[in-house]
Parts: sequence; C-alpha cells; structure tokens
Amino acid sequence: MSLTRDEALKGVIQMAADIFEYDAAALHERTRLMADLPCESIDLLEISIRLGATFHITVDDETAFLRSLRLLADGDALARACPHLSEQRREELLQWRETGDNVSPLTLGDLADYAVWMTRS
Amino acid sequence: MRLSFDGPVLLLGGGCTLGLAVAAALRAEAAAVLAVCGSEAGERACAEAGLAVEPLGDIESLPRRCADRLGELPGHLLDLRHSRRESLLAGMPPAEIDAWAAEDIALRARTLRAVTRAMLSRRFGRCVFVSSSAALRPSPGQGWYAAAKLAGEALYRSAGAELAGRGVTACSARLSWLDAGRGRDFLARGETARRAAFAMPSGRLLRLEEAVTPLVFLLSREASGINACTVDIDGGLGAVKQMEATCP
Repeated sequence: MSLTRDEALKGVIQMAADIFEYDAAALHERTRLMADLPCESIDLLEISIRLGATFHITVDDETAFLRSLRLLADGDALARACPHLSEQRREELLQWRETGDNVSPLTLGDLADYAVWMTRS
Repeated sequence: MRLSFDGPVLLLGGGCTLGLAVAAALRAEAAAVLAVCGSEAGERACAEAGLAVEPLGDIESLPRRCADRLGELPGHLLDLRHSRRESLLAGMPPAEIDAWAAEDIALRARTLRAVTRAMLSRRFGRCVFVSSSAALRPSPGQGWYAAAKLAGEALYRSAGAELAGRGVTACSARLSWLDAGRGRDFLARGETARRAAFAMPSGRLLRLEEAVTPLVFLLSREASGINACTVDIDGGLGAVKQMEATCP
C-alpha cells in the first residue's frame, strides 16, 4: 500500500518535533523550517537522513529542500526541478521569489509532498 | 577503568596485525566487532581469529550490513585501512594517482559519510582514524601516503567539529613505526630498524600493545571529549629531529 499524504505529513511533523524538541501539536504543514523553527544545516542533514530511513527513499537534498529555488528561470523550470509540488504550491513559491525574502520558504508540507512523490516514483 | 562501547565497532582494515590486535582488545572489553576488509587475505585472517567479517564492497551499505550482521547500526568506527602505495612524488604514473585519490582519500570520505549518517540517527558515534607520524614528516617515497593521511585527519577533524552537537565525535591518532604490518616491511630494510630506534626518544620502537591500548581507549565512549583533533601515539618521535639527520 502506498504512502498517503496524511501519513507522510504525520511522519514529517513527528520528525520535526523530535529534532527541534517541539510539541507535535504545535506544528503543521505550513510550518516553515528556516523561518518558524531554529533550523540549521546540521538539522537539515538529520532531516534528510531521517526522511530516507522513515520512508525508505533516497533523498536528493537539492530537490527536497528546494535549494535551487532562486536560480530557476521560470515556472516551467520550477516544475521540472520540483515535480513533487502541486501547481498551487509552485505558484506560491514563484510569488515568494518576487518578495526578495532571503529566508527559505520550505515547509513541513513540502517535505511530506517530497516523501509521497518519492515513494510513488 | 572499564570502557563503554555503545553499539558495534566497525574495524576498517581489520585484517592487518594491528587490526587483529585491536579486535582482540575490544572483545576483551565486551565490544561487538565487525571487521571490514578490502582483501581476501584480510577476510581470511579475521575469520581465523573468529571475527565477524564483511568485504569492503559497497561502502554506502556498510551501516546496514553491520545492522544485518550484528543487530545494530555501528556506534564506533576505527579506520585502519590504507593502500600500500609508496613512490617518489614525481615517480607515480598518472593513472595511479587517480587510483590513489580514489582509494586513499575518496573511499575514506565516503566511508566516514556513510557511517556518521548512521550514527546521527542514533545520536551517538565515535570515530577514530589511524594516521601516521609520516603525515607531518614524510620520508622520501612517503609523499602520497602522507598526503592521504593528512586528508584523512582533516576529514575526521571536520566530522568531529560538525557532528559533536549530535553526539558524534571523531579524532585521529598518529602512530610511529610499529613492528607490525607495513612497519615491519619498512624496518626489515637494512639498517632501518636500528636507525628508527635511534630516532625514538626512548631508544626503542613502540610495541604493538603500546599502540593498541590507547587506540581502544580513543575509540571508547569515555574518550568522546578528545574530539576534532589529532593525538600523537608515537613515543615522542614527532618531537625530535629526523633519524636521517642524527643517526651515526
């Protein structure tokens, strides 16, 4: 049976709660790792490792953590680089690029989407 | 003092004389040991010593293979593995330089990456790299060996600096000549053993157990405070002038 979005999100939220020592009930799919949590590069490394172990996937950090967001030319490039994200989410990210905000918009929901996509691909 | 080992010890290059002696000392401390060998001869030596042994094989799968064999991801790593390449710097064939970089640097980096990732998931790990006093003062013909050892020290230093906050610590240990393994081959050349002993402040080479005991300690949980650094286990060799300059 394939991983559902709800299962993936629950797993990702629990993972973040463990790593950042937060109450899981205080976290949700719109929680941003870099803006709302005290997330540093070592935490991303641990998230990458745990995502792989929890969902039995090989994690490509570049894609999962939306690292190339600022370098992508347009919406088509974003769709190719982040095929796990919905059209609506990609539109939000394109709008985020226009704001000039330097803090990554990566959310727990994005990680759940990545896990689901990887288990199905 | 009783030493603690939390999880299996991966012993890379475990089939050499030093590796087998360390394995015996670890087992005396009740540690579970998985020897990892890059040669059939090493695998045979480990098997004859009653050690669980795995071929080097796919490095990325090493933590999982450890869990399959011993029931747990590795908690400790001792990296003794090194090729036997020795050549004057300008004497190494170009293709051999690529092989040197792959085997003596890249493979070590990949091993450290794979094993520390597994250690991160258990929030504990202890890694020790066995370097050499030649890293700082290579004799002619040891340039490639020394460069790879320095690279290894740098990798382990960074691993300790980056991961200590997650319970994973690392250090390197520089050994001097031992009458074992590649040291024995070196010392067998002519007057070498006498000259080497002359260079040591004590006037003699270190005995095998004088390297084994501190290595086992460095590998234990109790040594976690020795992190992101290089420790000399060389009898003071690194503090004195080279034997070539002083030996009558």
